[in-house]
Amino acid sequence: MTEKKHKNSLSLVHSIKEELKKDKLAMISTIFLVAVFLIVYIYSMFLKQSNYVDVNIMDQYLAPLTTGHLLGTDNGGRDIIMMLMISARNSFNIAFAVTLITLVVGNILGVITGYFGGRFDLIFMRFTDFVMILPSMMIIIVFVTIIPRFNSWSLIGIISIFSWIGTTRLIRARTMTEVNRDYVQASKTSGTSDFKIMFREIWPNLSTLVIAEATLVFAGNIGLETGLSFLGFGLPAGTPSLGTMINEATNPETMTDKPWTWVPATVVILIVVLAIIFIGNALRRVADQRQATR
Amino acid sequence: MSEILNLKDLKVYYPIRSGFFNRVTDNVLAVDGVDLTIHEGETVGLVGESGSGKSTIGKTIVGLEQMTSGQLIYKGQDVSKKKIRNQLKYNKDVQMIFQDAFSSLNPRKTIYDIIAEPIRNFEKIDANTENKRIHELLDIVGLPKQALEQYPFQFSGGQQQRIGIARAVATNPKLIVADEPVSALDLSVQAQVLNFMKLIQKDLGIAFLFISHDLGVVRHMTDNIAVMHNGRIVEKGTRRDIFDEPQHIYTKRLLSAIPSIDVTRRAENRKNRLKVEQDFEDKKANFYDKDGHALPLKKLSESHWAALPKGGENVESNY
Repeated sequence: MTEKKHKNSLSLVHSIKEELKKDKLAMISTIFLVAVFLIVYIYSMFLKQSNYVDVNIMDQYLAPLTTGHLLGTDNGGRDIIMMLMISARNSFNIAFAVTLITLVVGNILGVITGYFGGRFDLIFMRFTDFVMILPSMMIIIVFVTIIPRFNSWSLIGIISIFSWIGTTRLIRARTMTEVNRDYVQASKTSGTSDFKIMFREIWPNLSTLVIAEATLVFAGNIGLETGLSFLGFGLPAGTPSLGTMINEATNPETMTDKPWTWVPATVVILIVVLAIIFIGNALRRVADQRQATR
Repeated sequence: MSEILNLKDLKVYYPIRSGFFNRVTDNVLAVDGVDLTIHEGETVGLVGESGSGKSTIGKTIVGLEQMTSGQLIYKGQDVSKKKIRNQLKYNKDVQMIFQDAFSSLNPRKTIYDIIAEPIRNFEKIDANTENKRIHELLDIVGLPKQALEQYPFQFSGGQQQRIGIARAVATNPKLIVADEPVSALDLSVQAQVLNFMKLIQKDLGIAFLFISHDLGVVRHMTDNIAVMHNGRIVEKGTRRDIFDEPQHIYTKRLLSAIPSIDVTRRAENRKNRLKVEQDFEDKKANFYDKDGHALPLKKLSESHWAALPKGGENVESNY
């Protein structure tokens, strides 16, 4: 059993490796991203909350390379590098959680509606059309302001309400092409239940696509969370985010005279999201190849 | 030979929807009133051109298509409803071999899991017995032991089809619907798979419904043959009835289309084909009603039925 599983994952891992070898940009992005995640998560493990909440007015807005602050300090006198680490961790956490919820919900609903099709699919898709045309950003902001005990979990929930639709539609479309393949028909005549056919027969064939989709959804969610935090409707006070760091730039004086407070955060977002998209595109190509060669 | 499956006035219509409210405005008559009987251990051939509804009949028999009306009688019980089929474990006894062997095998499953699927669903046996049974099946289809741990793409087309056959015979079925099982294979492999199917039929006493457009293959494989055209059976009978004494113009046309490699008589064969084709065009109006449907079947002998017009036999007998 273990040997079988090993072989099965090997073929997928193998084709991803081959693609990364061909695509140098994606290869570099992968190495870079792994390094960033390791540094961010390990560094922030050693931080106490007081480190990034307490204000030290004496050290406010120190320029880079002064008294041990490599990138200077922000308006609370906190080291920019430390703030970058903790903010990146918070932003990544939110993006991870939203991506996870999105994928789970999107996969389950997508496979079910694509498999059964017919009238259920028709009604369900009209419902997703409806949710899609809602101005999601505005509704998220309204929810954030009216929810009484707002914390990062409620933010995850609110963003997830709107994010599952894209994944659902993608998985549904691919499920619909899989359903017509003979192996699904063969499973039906072999007496396999619908539930098993959906998640044990069809779904494993979508796994490459799911991985590719996951990376792209993750990049999108980082953007969404930092955007909300920038506007002041993201993570609650006391939980720094890359968005709140960039928010410093809304003050004209900081924007022009103290760029070290907000430039590092923008650079981190830019590079991380770009790297994820490069990887995602490479994975998407792997998914397409695997679909084409079958 | 007792009958195991009986189709009575089987109709499968596909609705055509159009208009603003997407109402059903018309139907495609994929299968339009077909009667067919399959006896234990025999091979019934179902031939016809593409779109004649022969695959639809096969899929309806195994329960992959919904019938619009009619009856499907299995061992004296009406199994038209899915509920009854599930109760009887109907699919344990009626299995299917697919045209595209590769697509019929899940690319993410090992051969072991593929063959085990129907066994796990229909027979409550422990892992040891299951393992033994699968090794037996692998022996029957003549594949090496290490195949069990491999994936479908690692096999050739003929091997893939044999894996499909192993899965179909896994639960000791009484009837296997073979939907053009060899049309995707090249000729040498076709013979191999066909002979192999004949062999397991002899050993296990399985009845086949053999769906094909290849008359040479059908002649090799079947005992009784039904010829379909536009959703209706135009002629049915024993192999000898159909091949030696075809009565319906469509059957004659099909038979004349069998390619012959007799080079010396090429011109003669060609003339013959053209004559049959001309015949078909001329007599079309007699043999089909004004909507293009075949006429009702008429009994010609104990085994032979054909959809002939009134008095049509006389017109045709001198041919």
